[in-house]
Amino acid sequence: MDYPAMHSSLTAIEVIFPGGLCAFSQQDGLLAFAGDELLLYHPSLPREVAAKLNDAAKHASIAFRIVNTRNFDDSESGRKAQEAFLKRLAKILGEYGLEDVRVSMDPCTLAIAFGGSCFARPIERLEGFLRTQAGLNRYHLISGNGTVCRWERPVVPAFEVKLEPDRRAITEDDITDLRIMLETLGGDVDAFVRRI
Amino acid sequence: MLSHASASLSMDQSLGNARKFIAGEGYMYPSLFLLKKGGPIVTSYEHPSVLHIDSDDDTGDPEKVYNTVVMFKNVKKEDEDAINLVARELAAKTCPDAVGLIMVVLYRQFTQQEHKKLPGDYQAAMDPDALRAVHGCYYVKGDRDPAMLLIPFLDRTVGIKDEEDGPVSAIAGKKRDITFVQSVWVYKDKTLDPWLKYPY
Repeated sequence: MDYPAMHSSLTAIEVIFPGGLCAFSQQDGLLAFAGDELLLYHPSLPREVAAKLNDAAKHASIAFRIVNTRNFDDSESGRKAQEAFLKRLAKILGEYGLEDVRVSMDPCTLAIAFGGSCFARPIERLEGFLRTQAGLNRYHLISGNGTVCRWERPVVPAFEVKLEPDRRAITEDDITDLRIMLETLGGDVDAFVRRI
Repeated sequence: MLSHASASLSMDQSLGNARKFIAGEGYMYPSLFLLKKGGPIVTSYEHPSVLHIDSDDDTGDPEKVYNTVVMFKNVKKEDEDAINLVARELAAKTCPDAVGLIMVVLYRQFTQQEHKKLPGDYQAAMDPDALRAVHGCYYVKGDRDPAMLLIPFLDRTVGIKDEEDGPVSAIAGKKRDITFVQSVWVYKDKTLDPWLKYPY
């Protein structure tokens, strides 16, 4: 990401987020580069703020994307999970002979940069390993020329539960239906209808 | 022997500490990192530009990557030369597996044309010179290609305009207002050359 794009992205967050970037940081908001885009994470981003940010991101000079998850965030022992993952990753890299890599552990995304000599080796196997790692939600692999591939765990859409039925006026037919139902059950129907 | 993966993770950890320090104290002196797997580097070394040297304690863990930090005074042109001189001398003297540098640099400023391209509402919202960066680079022994990284941050601490004001802890009642952008290690960076040259 070039300087003007980054600066205008930060400025947009400063202007739109209540309290600016300072409040954003203090509320555990995170900003991270992932290739050519700036990832923006906030643990409880208000819907209207997210909408404004998404609108701003449509501007050509602003290049950020809101993400809802962090790596190793869904476990109480996230730190231990991360340490265990790094040990497995180091072993896998060694097994594949991928020694010439730079690893950046960021809460938003795992980045692995490859040296020119080792990029031709079977990256697919490494990706196969990464995608099965519990807690790893996002990574990107970088060659010497720039971002090669990025992956993000698909978000399972939540079911929408309607808590309140549609409101409509009670008609005479409704009251008749109710009267018939109550009569079959017995009881003072007229008193009940007057109450409702 | 240290792999790039291990060196980058060790330097990542140091960068995390640097970020915390900058957020708390405000000013971070340029620091040289000597990494060695399996045992600490104990060094007694003196140079007019060096403020302090600190080494990890020996825990007896053969897999641990031990860190020795050499902290420098403020960076001027001659200090930049001193960093490279000290790195070369210590690399020859102590044979570390990797040598890295972390320091704060001024980020490139907006040109007028770039500023004009900003959306109108945003042009006046922020000081265009407020963006700085933590620069990290390191070399693994035997590889002349550096790994580099630039972590931009906004420092809008009221009343502190630049490093000439000194460490913020010396200025009473100033609260830090710093926002970092995380970044990743790359082999080549179009924005910046490594401050550290290959020291071996």
